[in-house]
Amino acid sequence: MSEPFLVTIDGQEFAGQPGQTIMEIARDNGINIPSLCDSPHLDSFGSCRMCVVEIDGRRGTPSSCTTPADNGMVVSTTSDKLWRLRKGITELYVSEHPLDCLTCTANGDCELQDVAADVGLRELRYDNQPACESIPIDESNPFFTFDASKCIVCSRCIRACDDTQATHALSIDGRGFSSRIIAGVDELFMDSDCVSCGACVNECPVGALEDRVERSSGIPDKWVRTTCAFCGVGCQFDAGIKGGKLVTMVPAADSPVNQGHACVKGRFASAYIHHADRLKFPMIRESINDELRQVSWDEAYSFIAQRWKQIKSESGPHAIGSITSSRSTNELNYLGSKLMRAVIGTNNIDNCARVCHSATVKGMMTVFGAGAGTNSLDDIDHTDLLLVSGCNPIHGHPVTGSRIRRARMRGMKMIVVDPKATELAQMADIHVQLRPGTNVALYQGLAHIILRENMQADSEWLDSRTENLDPFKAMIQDMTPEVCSEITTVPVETLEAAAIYYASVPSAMAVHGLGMTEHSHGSEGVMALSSLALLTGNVGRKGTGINPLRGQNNVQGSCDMGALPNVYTNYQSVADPENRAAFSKVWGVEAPAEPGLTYPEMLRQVESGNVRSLYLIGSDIAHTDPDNLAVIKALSGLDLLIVQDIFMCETAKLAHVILPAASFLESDGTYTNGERRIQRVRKAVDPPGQAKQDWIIVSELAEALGHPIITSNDVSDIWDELASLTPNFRGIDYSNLDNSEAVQWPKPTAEHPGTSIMHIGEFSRGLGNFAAPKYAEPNEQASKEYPFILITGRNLFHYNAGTQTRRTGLSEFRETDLLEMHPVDANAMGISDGDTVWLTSPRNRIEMQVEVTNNVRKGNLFTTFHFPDIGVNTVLSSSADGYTHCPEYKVQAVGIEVQ
Amino acid sequence: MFSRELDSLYGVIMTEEYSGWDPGRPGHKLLDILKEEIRTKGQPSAERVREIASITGTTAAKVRGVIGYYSELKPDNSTVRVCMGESCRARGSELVAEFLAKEGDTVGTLHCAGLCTSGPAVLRDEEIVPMGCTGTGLQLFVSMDSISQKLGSEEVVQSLLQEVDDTAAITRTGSRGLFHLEPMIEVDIDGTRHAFGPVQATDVSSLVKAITNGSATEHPTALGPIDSLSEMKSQTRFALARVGIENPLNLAGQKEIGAYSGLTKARDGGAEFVLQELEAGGLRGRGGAGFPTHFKWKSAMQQGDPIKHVVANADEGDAGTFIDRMLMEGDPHSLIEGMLICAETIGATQGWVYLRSEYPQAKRILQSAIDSAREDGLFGKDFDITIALGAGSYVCGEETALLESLEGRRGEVRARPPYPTEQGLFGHPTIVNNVLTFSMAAAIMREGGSVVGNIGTERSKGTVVAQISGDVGIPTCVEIPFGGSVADLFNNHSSLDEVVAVQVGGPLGGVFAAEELENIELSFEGLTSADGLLGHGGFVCYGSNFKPRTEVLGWMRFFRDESCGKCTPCRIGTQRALELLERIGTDSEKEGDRILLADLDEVMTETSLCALGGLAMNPVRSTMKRWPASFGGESNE
Repeated sequence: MSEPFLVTIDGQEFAGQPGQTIMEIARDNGINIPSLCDSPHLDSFGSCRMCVVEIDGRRGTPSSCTTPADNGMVVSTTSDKLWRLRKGITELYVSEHPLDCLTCTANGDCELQDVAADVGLRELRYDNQPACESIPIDESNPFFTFDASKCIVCSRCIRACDDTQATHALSIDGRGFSSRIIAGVDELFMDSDCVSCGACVNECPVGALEDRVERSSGIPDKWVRTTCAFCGVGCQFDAGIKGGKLVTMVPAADSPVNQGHACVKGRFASAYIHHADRLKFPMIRESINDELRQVSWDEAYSFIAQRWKQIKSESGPHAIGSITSSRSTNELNYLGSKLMRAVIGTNNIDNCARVCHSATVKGMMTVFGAGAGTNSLDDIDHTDLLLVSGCNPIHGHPVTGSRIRRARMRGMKMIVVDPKATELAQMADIHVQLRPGTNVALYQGLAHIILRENMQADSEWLDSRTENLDPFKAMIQDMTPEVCSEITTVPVETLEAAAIYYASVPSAMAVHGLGMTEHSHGSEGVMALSSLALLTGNVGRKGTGINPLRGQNNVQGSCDMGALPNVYTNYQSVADPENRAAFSKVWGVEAPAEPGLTYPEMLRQVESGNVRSLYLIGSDIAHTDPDNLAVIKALSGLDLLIVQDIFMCETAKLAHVILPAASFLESDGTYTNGERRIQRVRKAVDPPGQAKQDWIIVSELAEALGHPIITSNDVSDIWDELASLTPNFRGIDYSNLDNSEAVQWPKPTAEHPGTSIMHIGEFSRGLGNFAAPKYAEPNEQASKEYPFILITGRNLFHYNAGTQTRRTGLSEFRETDLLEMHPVDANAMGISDGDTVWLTSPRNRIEMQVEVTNNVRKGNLFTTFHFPDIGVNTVLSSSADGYTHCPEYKVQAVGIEVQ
Repeated sequence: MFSRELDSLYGVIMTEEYSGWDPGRPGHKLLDILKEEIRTKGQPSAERVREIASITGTTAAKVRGVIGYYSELKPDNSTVRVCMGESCRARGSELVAEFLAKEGDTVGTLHCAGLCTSGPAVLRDEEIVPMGCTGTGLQLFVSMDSISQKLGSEEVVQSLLQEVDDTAAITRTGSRGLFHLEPMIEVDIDGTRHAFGPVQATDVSSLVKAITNGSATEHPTALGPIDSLSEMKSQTRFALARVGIENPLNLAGQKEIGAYSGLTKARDGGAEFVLQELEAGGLRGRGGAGFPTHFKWKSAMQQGDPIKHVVANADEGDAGTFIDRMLMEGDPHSLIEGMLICAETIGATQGWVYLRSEYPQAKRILQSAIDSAREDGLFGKDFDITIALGAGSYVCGEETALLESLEGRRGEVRARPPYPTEQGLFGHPTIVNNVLTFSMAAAIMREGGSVVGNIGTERSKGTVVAQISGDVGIPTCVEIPFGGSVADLFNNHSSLDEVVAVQVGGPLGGVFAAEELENIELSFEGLTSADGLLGHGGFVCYGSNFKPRTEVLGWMRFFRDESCGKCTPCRIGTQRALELLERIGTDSEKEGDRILLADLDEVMTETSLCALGGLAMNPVRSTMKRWPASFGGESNE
């Protein structure tokens, strides 16, 4: 049976697809069959038995949720007997349920209530005997509560945890009538493996698992579809609003990105938007030593305008620069770059993607001719093998992490390349636990083995789709497994197993993160990885490709928007006179020709006086940048530092002008996720105080400078202007983004469907280019004085600078940065788990608490930098990727002093 | 260059076969590890649960959930266990338990050890290793079946060893099933097997003398040639053909009397031939559901998956049934042969025997038989059989709950479809058949489908293995053609004297008054049309001390305790039914309780996910109908 078919339900004929159950077809067609254990987001289970139906020619009353529909089937969902049975089951449920509906937090949002009403239950003939009455409510989790007495043991929470989130933190204790849901070893949710993704809370049909905020606020009065503003996965949510306040964020089931799933941050941690610390008024001060004073927007704008005019007249336009944000909208990033280029007259525009994925753009651009992820998240569900390099999606991109785990459960093969034994590494088939900073050697070594084994793609692919294979072969000829093993410390047999594994499957897909890019040779590492995909023909097909997992919500978009010193939108070179002419024409000015400075360069040129003013929008570089004391010194040396943010972040504390911005829930526009999908963000609540949306502030500032840069006060006009200037976006109309499914660029024409897989048939640069960088050691080398290599990364419960996450219940999960250390090293130095030590480098020494763990290599340390008080970045050096200036966050030579 | 001192070699290849990842399905080893852990160290701490989770590739919650589910995964300090299965209860196991407790034992209970004809079964943690000897002189045969042992066969063998000369051989066999004649000794006299029984240890000396001086046939225990006993002649033994003849672990000897001849025919004829033969033989699943076996095998055969499983359901949980145990102890090769025929027919790569832990001797003998069959090369190179032990759950005899248990999960029933033949163990096509079904399949291949198919009734072809136990004068196990009445079965092979009631087909089966049995045909359809079920062929008898109300409460308590808890009608319904039954017929009965019970009956029967909930009201209904006086209603007398 593979053809669509017709099925009759209650006298009406409906079309069904192969594999659909009666319940699914009924639900699709608006026929309500009472049910408690079934959920559109979960596999059918068949435990509540409420959804029984009668089928002509079949005995009994099968459950519609587990019965596949079949051609010609005639189903009745309603009869005296069926309603009698359903009523009988409901009576059983109610017999063990508390009868406190009116005061129950789920009142009005309870499926048991709905079912009882449906079946017309009017009396309870059994004695009421709630099964778990004596178990206290579990209030350990900051975001939700669990009341076992209200639980109806439908197992939807367990199935969500197992099959959606794939954490497997829940189960049942006892059996039969004694069955009861437990977390972990029958412990508090907070003590269990639960990661608070909220999938169980979404599924709970009654008041057993309840969102705390929703519990106290009641049912929202407004729902607004928007995009999460944490990581680059780009999950879609429906924000539930009541009285102008955020009540809940419900993950959108119809989103191809998150498919109804969420992580703890997106689901529960957007409440920071209502935090008392929000910046509410513009503030200025003459000098850094003065107190900031509250002013009107006009005063703030004229203060900036006056100073910029002065600086420009004294030092020229290039003394001014701006760093925009991967956390803000595409529209802001475009407008910010337009402000610099069209109003100030400089290309000194950059964004914070500089310090994360700039090396990806460089590396992939070199090999494929485009810097963006080649495929889509959906491909994870289809690939035969996933090569995970230098990323920890369980923490950094949790919804994608769950998707990867689900794929593992279906049998997808997996290789993880990481110096850390991350959760994914521990569940991989092969973990390549290489020495930090040796990615280039590793991937060239794997390519060497693949060629030796003659497992490369067929010659038709190599001849017709690629170039420069011979220089590539020549370069990697010496990267024998033995040499590669010597450099990476990975055993030859592991290298051979990984290479053969990767090359032996029909489709292999690679995902990578900052563990590939934040190196002194990050760009070369991405080139080596991309060349491996090219060598095996793993590009341009479903389930293949090179797919960077973007750190912040709009890393892809901020770069796509041309908030970079050398390119306009979609990487159109500033140096190209044709491009410049096109932008100049639309902007009505002569756009500057000279490429601008990257932002690390801007900072370096403060001391010399070449750069005198910076306009920072949503970038807390005084916390997040390495060699942090030097960054603070540079920022402090500016004549005018303007910071536009939602909180008084570390950088804002150094500013002359503070511009209070709107958060994502207070803004309109678009974000582009890591798979090039352009998605709407929608204003759901008003910003606090006088705070304004980023793009409005920039446009008003431009007006104050005497050069308006928007044609109307509608954000859609910004998109439509930039799309008209960008061939790959030309087919994307803002009104379509609003009305239809989100689209993946390139979409050159209105008729073009968008691009889920790039480089089919032809690469963006024509032929795929084997890049053959020569392996070089990382800049940072361990020494006698600084014998440890420190790796920095992320934790699930926080987000980069932590300005948002530290102002939520997430701090209850993690309230400081911990220094992870191998037990052998800890023993040798007499350090125990929980001890405080000095972490030292030539730049600084800071106090940190040690966590002893086998998950790091001997001689390696790992930490996060979510907490400015700890100051991890003050220890780090300014060493960076030679091509892109992306800092070497992942390899830092440091020392440890025992206190 | 980098510093070697700081680095060592890193890189892990997880498993040679890259086994994938699914913490929800750690496999059956988790149950074994937990059983050993809890047996030796008691209830594991939270920390230990986390360690076990990490060792077995699952999570703490899943381990804890498994511990919470299985009754054997609880610390047990009992010094003795008394069987509370129906047959043993009918013979007074409660009194025995009380007595043992008074004697100072810490008494635990179990539900059926398959010793139903020798009950009440009392089990201590001891292993009775069957003794025997080889020789070329006098050839003696004594059953080592667990029931025979309970009836004293080991003591008899001990005496024999002292009495016979050292040329004599005592061969240990399975039981003929004639338990009223056990302990029974068979002696080869002039090439004919003569039976003697029941033989007590004290009879041995005189018996051996009688044999030696040629007067054996005059010994008081002499029964005559075994094959001429009316109890044997009246049977048609297909599945039981070899049980009781030869040492089951003597593979060569077993082959001589037909073992693996069915497999040879299956291999010669091919998969389609096997299906044809099974269809001709009319083989229906003997676990109770009676599903045509050739349909099941065909469905699995048609699946394209390169990995398929064959599972023998040896979780013989219905009290009053023990034929699977008898086969595994008496002719394990018939099970192995049936599984191999199935594996080759459907293209299976792995075989499993899910064996209840209450059968330690069956495990020991079956494991030896599997090992010798493997060594003999019978398995081929791509197949093997693993024994997995249950951990205390009646529902795990249901095929989908059994598969969950084999996957190392709580034994919760799965909704069907998908059927196990499409997505069974670890998602692969799987045949789950009862032990007796596999033995029957092997017998059909050996004897020929039409030979078996020509006997029995229209819809119940071949033979039924009837196990009669409980409060009955002649407990027995016989294999006879389907057909005739249930009363005939008793009259020809046992006795209905003083039998008041008979429950047919396990605890979920209907309960009948003795006098109505002559109107019930002995067949799948005969029992069904009498609102009962044939089940696994157990007939548990109750005598004059039959207490209908006590039994009904006992059944419902058992169902409540054994409900897996997945589906609502069974999870809550069994508890509510028990509460109602405790009131009905007493002063606490409330108005409407009987109507409510009838309503609950309909809900449980119509909507439960599996037979436990679906049939739980079956014995209640049939007992209340026949003995209303016990429930405060009008007397039927």
